[in-house]
Amino acid sequence: MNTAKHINLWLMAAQNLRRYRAKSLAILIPLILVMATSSFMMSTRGGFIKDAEIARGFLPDVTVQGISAGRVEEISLDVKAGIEDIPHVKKVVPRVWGYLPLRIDETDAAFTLMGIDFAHSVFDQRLPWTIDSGIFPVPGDRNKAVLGSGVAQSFAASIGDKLQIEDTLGNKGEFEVAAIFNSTVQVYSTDLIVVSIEDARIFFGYTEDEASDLLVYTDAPEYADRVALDITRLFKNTRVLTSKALTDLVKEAFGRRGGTFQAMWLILLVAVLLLVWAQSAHISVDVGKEIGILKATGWQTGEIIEMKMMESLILGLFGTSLGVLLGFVYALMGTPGISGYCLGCASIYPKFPVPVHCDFQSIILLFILGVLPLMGVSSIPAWLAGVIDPDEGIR
Amino acid sequence: MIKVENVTKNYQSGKVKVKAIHDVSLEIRRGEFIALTGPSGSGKTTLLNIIGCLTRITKGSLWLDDQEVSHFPDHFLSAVRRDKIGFIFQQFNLISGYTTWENVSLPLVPMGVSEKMRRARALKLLEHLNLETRADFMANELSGGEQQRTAFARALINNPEIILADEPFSNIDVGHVKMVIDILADLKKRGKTIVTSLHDSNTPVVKLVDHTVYFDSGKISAHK
Repeated sequence: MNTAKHINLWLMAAQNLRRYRAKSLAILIPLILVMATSSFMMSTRGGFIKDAEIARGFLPDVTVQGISAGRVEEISLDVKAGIEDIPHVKKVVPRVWGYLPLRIDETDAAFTLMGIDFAHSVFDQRLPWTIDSGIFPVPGDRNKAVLGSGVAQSFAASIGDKLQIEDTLGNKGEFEVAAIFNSTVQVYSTDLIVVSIEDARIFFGYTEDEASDLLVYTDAPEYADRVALDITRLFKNTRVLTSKALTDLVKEAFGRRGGTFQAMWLILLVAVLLLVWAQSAHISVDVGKEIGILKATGWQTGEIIEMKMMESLILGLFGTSLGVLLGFVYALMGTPGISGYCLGCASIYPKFPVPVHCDFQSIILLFILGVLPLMGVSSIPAWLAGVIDPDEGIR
Repeated sequence: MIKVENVTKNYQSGKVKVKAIHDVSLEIRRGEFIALTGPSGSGKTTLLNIIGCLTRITKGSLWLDDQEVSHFPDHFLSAVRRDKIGFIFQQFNLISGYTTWENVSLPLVPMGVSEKMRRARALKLLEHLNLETRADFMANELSGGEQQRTAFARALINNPEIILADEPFSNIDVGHVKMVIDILADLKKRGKTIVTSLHDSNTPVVKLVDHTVYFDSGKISAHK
């Protein structure tokens, strides 16, 4: 292998990018834009999926809701005792929850108020959240609330503050902020207000023998499907969801959104490839002549193609690196301007950050998609020009 | 030695087959200076291109130094062009995005010669051709005469045995004719084999040539 020759060819390739600045920029700028777009799409989509996977870690094995005429409604606590008798059911915890449509500083906001039985707290060791400040309420505590850190920020609330909540549907309540938690799942820490189940019942107008759903914990996760089947069989008018089904639902939702993003990204990539091809076609007369001259002066076709491929490789690597970095930084900044679309909920209070997650495989995929097609598209005209006689190329 | 044996070259121009040269045979000995002359379209440039391995022949054979090269694969022909032939095109064919010295040193790039060495060798040749002040000019910033001399420098950078010059006087002003003649005379003195095409057989350079080959309609019509 003639190393000196290859070094010469690579240096020439790098110098050619500088020589033909206009052509290089005409390819580089759209490439950076496409890769930045795809990078932020991948990282935000990855964030949603990652959140869903983490969230599954503290979902109950089975969630049971009441159904009436095909619509979800309150579930009677009579069902609770029946479920507890099913083999491999360890614990059944009623939960009352609902959405809080509010207006804060003339801005539409939506939070979730969740009432739980503090004696059977779901805040066990599996949960990926931590109490940032304050003390978590104990059974018997009333009118106390635990806020996600994002919610506390939205209300400008701190420990000991009295939080007066009146939603746009007319439900009212006053809670003392007992604790503030943080979670690796951003949707929880920015959305959730936890109160006692009794307070939640009063707030939403539930009777004492009603709950929004029942959280069923089994002896081991592998029993979930069997228990779910038993509940479905035993109790009509219930909707039974395993944690896997719930997670799959979330993944599918964001997957579809990811699909939309990917479709957009593909369109953009095709646009860049068309642009590169148009550039190649446009300059093919010049490229053909240049290649003819190089061959006439003793260059071999392989050497010419190597130089042209190096030009594309350098351009592709530089454009993809810069694009991926810009896209990731944009995602980390909260995708300003389009965060509402990314989150899929335009009324959410703007403090909700878009989750971001970027893994090694995604980055490799971006580089493959950014560099290889570019090398292919731009090398074809070089190859076509390289295989003909120099005389023909020059003419 | 260059031996052209019963060479025919046809071009396809759209649906029309053009016979550029037909059944041409010619022998050129090492160190000879040959002029190909004749009217436009008579086949002079085609024969130069064939000898320079820039185009493949349709029929016949081409021998360079006892090697039948007409059927060599593409990469071998590149090696032949790089090692043995220096070609000066009528239209110069410099790459406009490159500087003068970069154009001159192009044949050295795939040989693995470092940039520093390439520049040094190119500058030496450019100095010899009074072009040292134009070394860093872009090719498209040079005058016709300067481009011609740059093309000469590029053809000579590898010190080839065979120099092929296609109409070397057709695109330069009168002031530079003597300089080109001097270059060719110098090359002849150094034992190079030179083949040039001339539109005008009365050009002063004919005093240097050993033989003149007359072309007409793709055939050799006379040999002097």
